[in-house]
Order: sequence, then C-alpha cells, then structure tokens
Amino acid sequence: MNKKAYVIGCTVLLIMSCVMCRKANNAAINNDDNFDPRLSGGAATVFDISSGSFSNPIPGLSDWDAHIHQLGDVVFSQTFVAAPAPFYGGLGPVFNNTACTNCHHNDGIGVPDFGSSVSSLLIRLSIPGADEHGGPNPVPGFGGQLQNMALFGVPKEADVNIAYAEQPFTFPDGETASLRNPTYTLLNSYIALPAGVMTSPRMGPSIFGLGLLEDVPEATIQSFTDPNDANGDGIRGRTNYVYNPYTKKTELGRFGVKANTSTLQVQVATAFQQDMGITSYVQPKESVDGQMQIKYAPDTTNPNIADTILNDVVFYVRTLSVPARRNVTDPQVQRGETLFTQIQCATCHIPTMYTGTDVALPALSNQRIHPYTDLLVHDMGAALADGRPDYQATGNDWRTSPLWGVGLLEKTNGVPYYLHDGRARTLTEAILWHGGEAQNSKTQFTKLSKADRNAVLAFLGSL
Amino acid sequence: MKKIVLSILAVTTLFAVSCKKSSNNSTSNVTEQEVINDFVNKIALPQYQALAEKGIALNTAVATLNTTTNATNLAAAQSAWRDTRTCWEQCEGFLFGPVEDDNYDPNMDSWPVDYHQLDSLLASTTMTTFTVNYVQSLNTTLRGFHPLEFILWGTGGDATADSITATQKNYMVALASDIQQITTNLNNSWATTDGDFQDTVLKAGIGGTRFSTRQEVILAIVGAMSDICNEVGNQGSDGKIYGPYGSSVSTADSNKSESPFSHNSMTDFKNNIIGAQNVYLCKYNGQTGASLSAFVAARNLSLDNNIKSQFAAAIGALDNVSVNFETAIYTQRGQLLSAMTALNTLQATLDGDLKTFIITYVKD
Repeated sequence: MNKKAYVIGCTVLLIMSCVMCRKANNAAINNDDNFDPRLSGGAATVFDISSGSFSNPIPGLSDWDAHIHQLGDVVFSQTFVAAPAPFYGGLGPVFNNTACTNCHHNDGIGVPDFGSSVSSLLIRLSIPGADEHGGPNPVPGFGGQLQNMALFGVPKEADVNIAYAEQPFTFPDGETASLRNPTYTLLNSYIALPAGVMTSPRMGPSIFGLGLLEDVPEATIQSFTDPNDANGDGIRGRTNYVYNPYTKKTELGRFGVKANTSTLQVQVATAFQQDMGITSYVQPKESVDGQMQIKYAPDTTNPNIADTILNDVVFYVRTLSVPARRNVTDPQVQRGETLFTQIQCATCHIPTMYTGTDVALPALSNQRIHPYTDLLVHDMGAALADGRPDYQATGNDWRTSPLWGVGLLEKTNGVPYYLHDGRARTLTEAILWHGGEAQNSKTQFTKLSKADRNAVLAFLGSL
Repeated sequence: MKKIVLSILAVTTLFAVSCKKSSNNSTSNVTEQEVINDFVNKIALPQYQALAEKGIALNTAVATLNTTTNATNLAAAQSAWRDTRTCWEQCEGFLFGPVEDDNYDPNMDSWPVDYHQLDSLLASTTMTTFTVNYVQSLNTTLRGFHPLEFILWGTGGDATADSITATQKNYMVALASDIQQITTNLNNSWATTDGDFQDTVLKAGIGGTRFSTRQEVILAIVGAMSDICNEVGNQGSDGKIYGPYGSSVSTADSNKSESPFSHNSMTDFKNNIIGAQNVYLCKYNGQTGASLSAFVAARNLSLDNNIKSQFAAAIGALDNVSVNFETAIYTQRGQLLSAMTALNTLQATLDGDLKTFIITYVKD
C-alpha cells in the first residue's frame, strides 16, 4: 500500500470519527432514550418508596461527610427549648415551631394549619414599599414574619385563623371537583397591626434534592427566562434577584415559594431565626429585634447555636437525595408524560437540566436531573395571588414548584397537601388552581378526556 | 491453576452448604397475605386497643390523685404511668402509619423536657387552670409522658404526695387527659369506624394506593422493626442509649435520657425491642398468628434462626445492665456498649438480609 495514501486515509478516518463522535455525543445527550428515566437526581438518586424516601443521604458520601450529614439530621429532628438549657436552647422568645422536622415531616411537607406543635403554616408580613435592599418592607413591631407562638409568659405577635370556602368546579365532561379557598385572618395581635399590612401564607415544603438545585448554573436558569414572551407562548418566566444578608450581595433567588432566597445557607439560617427564634452567625439578630419581646431573649449578643450546628444542618439539607421514579414503563404513565408536555405543563415544569461542577460532592456534580421546575417566577393569576411583592416577584408571582417526589407524598406524609399554603388536597385541585401564565395549560387539562386526565395524574404519581 | 481448583472447591462447598440450608427449611405454608392479616389482627389492633385502655386508666389514676392526694394514689398513678409506657414502647416496634403520619409519637413522647419553661409554667401564679386545649398548644417537650413523669416523680425521684403543688396538680390532670386523647385517637385511626388504617394495610397490593404491593407493606413492617433497633442502639448522638452515654464517661449526661425521673429508661428500651420481636414472631398477650418468622423459616431457616437469636441476644444484653440507665451510663458502660453492639447486629440483619429476603420472596 502506498504509504502516503495510507497516512491520508488514516487522517481522514480520524477526522471523520472525531466529527462523528461529536455529533453522536450531542445527539445522545439530548435523547432521553439513552438515560434511565428513573434517575430523577442523577447520581444523587435513591431507590426507596418507604415513608423515609425523602430522608436518604446522597450516595457516595465520604465517612466524614456521612458523619456531618448525620449530625445535621439529629439537629433537624431535635425539639429546641427555652434558654438557658444544657442543650438545644435558644428557642424564641417568639416562634412558629420548635423543631425543623415538625414543619418538614419526614423531610417532606407539613400540615396546613396554625397553633399546634406540628402546624406548618406561617404568615409573611410587610407594608407597602421596600426595604433598603429592595426586599419586603417589614411591619414595625412585627418584622417580616408573624410568629404566632411564644415562650411561656411572652406575648406572641398574633393568632391566625383560616376559613375555607368550598368552590365547586365542573369539568367540560361533567365531572366535578371542589376547591377550598382560604381566608386568613390575624387575631389578638399584641399591638395593633398597621392598616394596609400585606400577608402571605407559606407551608413547609419538601427539602430533598436542594443541593442539586443549588448547583444548577445561573446561566441555565437565565436561559429559561422569557420576560417579554419573545416566543409568544404566553409564558413569561422571570428571575428574582434577592439580597443575601451573609455575602451582602444581590444574588439569583432559587429557594422559597417566591424564589426569594439565594442559598441553602441563608434559607436554613433564616428558618432558624424566623421560624424558631434561633440566631446564628448568618442571621445574628433576634427575630424580635426592635420589639418589646426582645427583653425575654436572655442573650442577644451571641448566636443561639454554634456555627458548626448551622453548618451541619445546611449540609444535611444539601445532601438529601432524590427518590427514583416508579412505573416509568407503564403505558398510562408514558401517555401522561406525553400529555404533560403537549398541554405545556413542561414549559415551566422543565423536566431536564444539568447541574454544574461541584468539586466537594461528586454525586451532585454535573448531573442530569429531572426536577420539573425552571426555578423562575411566573404570574399564576389572581386566585392564587398573595398580593405581597417579594423583591422582583410581584403579588401574583410564584416560583415554579419542583415536582420530583410529588408522587410519594402520600407515603411520607399520610395525607398530602399541595401548593404554597396547602390549600389543594389533590393533584387535580392543585392543577385547577393554576391561572395567569398557566391558565392555558389548566384549560387544556380540563378539556382532556377523563382517561387522559388520569394519565397525567398517573405520570405525576410516578415522579 | 491451584487457585482455580481452590475456587471450584469453594463453590462446591458453598453449594453443598446452601443445599443443606434449604433442605432443613420448615414446612410452614404461611402466606404473605396471612402475615399481613395477622400483623393487623394479632399485633397492631390489640396493642393499640390496649394502649387506649392504659391511657384511660392513667387519666383515671391521675384524676384520683388530684382529688385525693396521698401516697397510695401517687404510687397508683406512677404504676399506671409505667403500664402505659410499657404498652406504648412496645407499640413503637411498628411505628408506621398514623402514629408517624399524624405525629402521635412526638406529641406524647418528646424528651428531654423543656426544663426552663416547665419551671416558669409551674412557678407561675397566673396559671391556675390548665385545659387540655392549652396543653395541646404547648411545645412537644411540654406535653405527653415526660412532663407528667416530672410531676409524678420529681427531678430526683423525690416527689411525695405532699410535695405536689396545686399548679402541678392542675397541669398533670391536663397532661393525662391529653395522653388519653392521643392514645384513643391513635387506636381510632386504625379502626374501621374511624381512620381505618387497617384497611390500608390489609388492601396492600389489592387496590390500595398507599401500599401498592404486599412487598411494600411488609417492607414497611420490617423497616419499622429495623428503625426502632436503630433508634435504641445506633452509636450516634441521636441513639436513645448513645445520646446520654456519650463518647466517654466525661461527656455522659443523664439529662438527655428518655425517662430520667422515673428511671424507666432501661425498661423503655427493652420494651421497644420486645415490641419489634412481637411483630416478627406475631405474638402478643398470649395470642399467636401467622408470623413473618414462619414465612422466613419456610424459605431460609438459617436467616430465621439468626433473627430469633439476635433478638434474644439484644434483649439479653439489655437485661445485663443491673442498675438504672441514668447510673449505668457512668458505671456500666461496658454492658451498655455490648447492648448497643447486639442491637447494631440485629438491626443490620433486619435492614440487610431480611429486607433482601422480602424483596426476593414477596413479589406482588
């Protein structure tokens, strides 16, 4: 064989194979058939359908990391008590609950009511205007969150009453449903609430998979935005840039039902501070700072919990794995998945994205995940609106809720509740509450045949 | 080559051993549905029924102590408290379903108590009337068994009929009434006339959504057995034993123990494991039924024997502690370590081999 021809031939082959490889890789990565659809969290997925299915650490933690996760788990489950106490002191003086796990039952959701040891609703408060960082304007004497519980002898800020009105709904095919429409009333406030106070109810959400969401690159989330509806599909996903009190910077909001928190560190520290009255190095001020209840806080100069305790809990939340999907080969589930995309649910509940590089935690790093969210805020219509702006999120806006694990809530929580305040008792009710940018998808869902609606629900049940 | 011969020998030997195991399996023909049925009918229902009855008896005894505060009635109330604890701690051997979903567990059994608030509450001159509703609005560490234990025994176990104050009496009546409500509601949550969770368990794999297969519900039962062994025996800071035991005698702290005022902690632990053992053997109060043990023995006698002997070893190891737990964490650390080790072994078998067995043999 001619040596020159051989060399040229090899070179051409090499180039071709390189080109083909590249093409094949691109095609492969966009083809769902090349991946196991059950792996909702990529390598951070665990196969578990028990009541503890949200409570597994991500696979592959080092012994030390597993130890820290375990320490965080202990604190997460512990009931905090009034100071001075030999351990787990610092509760209050006012609070919403006494243990993380009381509102995040089995690391899942809570119970939508007020006033008991396991009540999981709280009310955010503000008055018109904005604070110095563009966030909600706190209510003098109450702050940004209403604490409806208090230590013995301390005036709580107020009580909250919920009244539900049933609203009948009839599908085009004659099937009926009933939506319960809540009205929240603040009672017995320790001082008068100012006129025009705005309220927003929030129920404790599931807390698994958050390390993955924290690792989704900002550019990916930006790529989902369409604030001016350039593509004309009626969906106008927007980011919410929020203030981080620890870094003292404005950052992309990812967490919270209005995407009003940028990092898990701030999310956890603020929950300690606002929900339980426990200060930390990230949120060092008492929730009653500037209020008369401050006199009941025995020590306002030192954080109530050691830095390591806060870090352990942040690490615990960051390293909870995602449960795997079930029944992915069931034809009804597959039909439901197709419909979910066809009626544009998947436009906001985006199925697939990749996390960025996480050198500390390989199971979270560069993973193909299926959270079913765009982490953006959308106008969800007047019926769901709280009328309380939160940074750039308006009173009509809510962040697209991740749907992974939604099919397991009956197992982790017994009776599941849905949406930001738990008003929906079924997934059908939750869909029917969608309005605003999601109105079109909701309408299309209602027009589906009963069998097709059931297919959509079966698909959601498989998540 | 020598390695290959050795390997063949090893495989042959293993095969022979495996064959031997299966040929000795029991001839029981207990079915998985019978195991589920009898778990409900011989274990869960009668124990929750008994718990509700103990809750009523405790409430009555405390009411009597309130009316006639004397040494006899204090001893009777203490005894009723211990009886209710025995039943409840055994029920923790199958802690899944409403007891978990609806937070009956933390509402009646959270510890340590909130000492500071407890002191404020009991020192208050304004708290003359405690209602059940008021107690139910308190933190979990201010309601349930342990604040009641605090009143009935006192911090150093030194309570007498004369030392119980009027405020304490008011509080204890509301606490006992709350416990009665919780245990009654828990029992009702399984009853056909109320929450009907028994139907959810019995219908596993035949139309239920909570448990879509029988395998799932049996795994939940096994998971609960494993969980309680882990809760008592795990050597992390949330272990019932290890938490107060600590990493060394200098970090041991009896303030963290489960029932420190009555010194009932060792009994609590033992009853937890007896509760899980009762589930495995389907044995309670003289009644027996189609057990998980029989189901396992028919297919893997060696595994069944292991589990039974590991239960016996764990309970025996707890029995080896001869002083109360709050003392033992300082003086009998070796015995406590042995008990935790025995519980770890048992828990590993339940969580490992037994779960694998269920996944292998329960297919629907």
